[in-house]
Amino acid sequence: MKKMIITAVLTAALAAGTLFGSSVPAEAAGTDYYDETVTLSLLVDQDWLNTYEPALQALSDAALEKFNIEIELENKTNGSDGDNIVKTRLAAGEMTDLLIFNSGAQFTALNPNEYFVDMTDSSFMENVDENFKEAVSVDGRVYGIPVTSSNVGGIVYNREIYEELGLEIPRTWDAFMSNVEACEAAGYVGVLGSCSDAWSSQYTLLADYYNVQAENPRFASDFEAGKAKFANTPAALRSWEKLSDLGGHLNDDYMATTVTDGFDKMMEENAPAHFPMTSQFFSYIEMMYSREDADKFGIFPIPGDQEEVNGFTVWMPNGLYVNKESENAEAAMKFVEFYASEEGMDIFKENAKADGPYLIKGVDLPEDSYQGVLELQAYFDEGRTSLALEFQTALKGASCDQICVECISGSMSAEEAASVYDDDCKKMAQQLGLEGWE
Amino acid sequence: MKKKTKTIYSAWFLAPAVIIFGLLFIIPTVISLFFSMTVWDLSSFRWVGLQNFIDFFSEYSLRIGIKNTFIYAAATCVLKVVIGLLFAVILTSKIRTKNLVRSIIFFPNLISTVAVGIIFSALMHPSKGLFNEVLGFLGIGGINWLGDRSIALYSVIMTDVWKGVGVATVIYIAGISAIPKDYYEAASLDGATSVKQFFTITIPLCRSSINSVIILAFIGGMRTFDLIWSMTGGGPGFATDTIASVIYKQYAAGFYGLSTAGNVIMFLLIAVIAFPLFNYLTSKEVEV
Repeated sequence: MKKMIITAVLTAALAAGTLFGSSVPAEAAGTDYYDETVTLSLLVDQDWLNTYEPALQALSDAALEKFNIEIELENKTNGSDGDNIVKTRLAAGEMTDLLIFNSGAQFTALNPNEYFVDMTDSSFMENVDENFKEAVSVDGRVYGIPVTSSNVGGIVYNREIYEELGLEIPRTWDAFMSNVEACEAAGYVGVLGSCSDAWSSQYTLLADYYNVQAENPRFASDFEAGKAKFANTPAALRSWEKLSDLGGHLNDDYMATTVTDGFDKMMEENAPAHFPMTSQFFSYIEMMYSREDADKFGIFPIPGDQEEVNGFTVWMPNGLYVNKESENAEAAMKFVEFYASEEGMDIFKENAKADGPYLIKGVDLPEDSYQGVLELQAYFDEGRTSLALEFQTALKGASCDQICVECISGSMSAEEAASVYDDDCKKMAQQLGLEGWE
Repeated sequence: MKKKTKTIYSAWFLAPAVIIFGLLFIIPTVISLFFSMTVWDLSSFRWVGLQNFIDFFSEYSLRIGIKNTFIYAAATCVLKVVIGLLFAVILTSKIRTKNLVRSIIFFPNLISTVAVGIIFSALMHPSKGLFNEVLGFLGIGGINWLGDRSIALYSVIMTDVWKGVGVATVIYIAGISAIPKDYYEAASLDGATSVKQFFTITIPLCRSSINSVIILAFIGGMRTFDLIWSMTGGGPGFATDTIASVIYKQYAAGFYGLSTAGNVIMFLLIAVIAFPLFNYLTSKEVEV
């Protein structure tokens, strides 16, 4: 039933997007206008489309109007099965003209210099945020533009429960755990677990990176060089301990709960009070429920052990990449340039909400953003953010998500999980041919 | 017309089979042996010797994977052999609706394994699944079929048996129907009970069907992947990983050389177990 509602909402949004798209003036068409319609194929995953299809559709309608470029969507599944599709299609030479895919470690693992158009010297790159460029660069060459806003990882909490119980946003991990217990005492589930989608179990660990970096500013480079390990770096081991602390405070069916189930649970009566997630949570809730429902929630950073150290770990959005082998590479670059232009971003912003600040210069956070997202601005202004580890190094263990599930379910202790993860990273390092891991 | 004197066919008649077998089996096998000793990203490779094999065996989830694979292969094999035989005996006796029941038992086998996996993981959902709703209706507390690490593997095994027992039954039915009725008549004249007839006539004389079922079910169980992947993805954590799912995860992570090494190991492992098993079983067969 829910699926049907979503479909209906999406269809309605799509129709609205189409109307909007057609209102873009046609006189903009100049020499850039192709005589014959160029059809570009674009591969993107379904989860992403669920949120951003209206925006993408509006952009593609505008591109048809302006350049006579038509975008044809192909969708793929999310997660490691989806990565597989991308890797296999690249290797087989059957990649679409355009690709929307993760930035960071997962992107660099694709061997970008072999498959994607180098955008380093394109003029539109000047407006792209440095952090994002870093996340889609290999050997100093840049291969993509950000398709959405940035987002942060942290703990989503229910404002109504916090108000009802008179709780304050915790600044330390101990304060957080006592909040969890207070919620449980009042009959709420302390923390929502959605381990059926194993990837979602990683956020407590990954979003704690701000605290790791605050204590060990050189952790990322030492980790890549094989000098620092999770198991023997106290601050990094602490992240695993936090993950392990959550066990016992989760919903009974956390092993069978998918992320989508999780969103539903957050809206039920006696809902879970907390959900370790990214700020993309808000747009999912708006999509499945309503804007007011989305504003019932806020997000706070994974607390550290000292009150003074408190900040968000930032995720870079997916990137838009152009297939080097594409016959339509030129038209594809035109679309990319349009996407990253102020005009393109305006169209995007009209049709999609921000999960955090945008990564293109001159594109501000709209005032009608979610309450939870507007509150993030202060952290960015004060510099209390750090880039997630996977955007600072290409090294990320392939089984991270399963190890997190083992740790959260208590079948591995934090120490054990950290050292199993270190071994997992070692394997990745050897595959990547990194120095210092023999 | 001149009568043909040459009775032996030219060796060229073998050519099509040899070419197809060579192209599709021998060459890929040799190539995969080679790539199993490299770090390989599909377009370029670096020689690493036996490092991949060492890495594969030091993989944390492999210990669980090997144990699970054997439990899975043994359990599905035994259950299919026993339950399949039971069904076959019932369905070769003189009961009505026997054709209908035969079809019903065979139907699950026509559904794609992944679809079966998705359906059963929905049925086994701890709070919304049909199984637990029925249990709840009967006043029994719900079971966390796929979320509890100690029973998740067995839930998948039950699903596999549900799906696969039809093939075993069909093989048995063929075997049992081929046994001449004379033996049974003679035995009943001598006063043998039907239980005695089952153990002294049916089982020995359909030995070759039993052997086929054992071999098919065991090798199928050793290689199992699709059902595991669609039901649990090897989870919770690593609790239901099998050798094949460990290999797939390495492939998905982009460790192509390593996962090829894993496949070579799995191939050897299955061969080392299946050939002696096959020889042992066929040596026990008797002529009907």
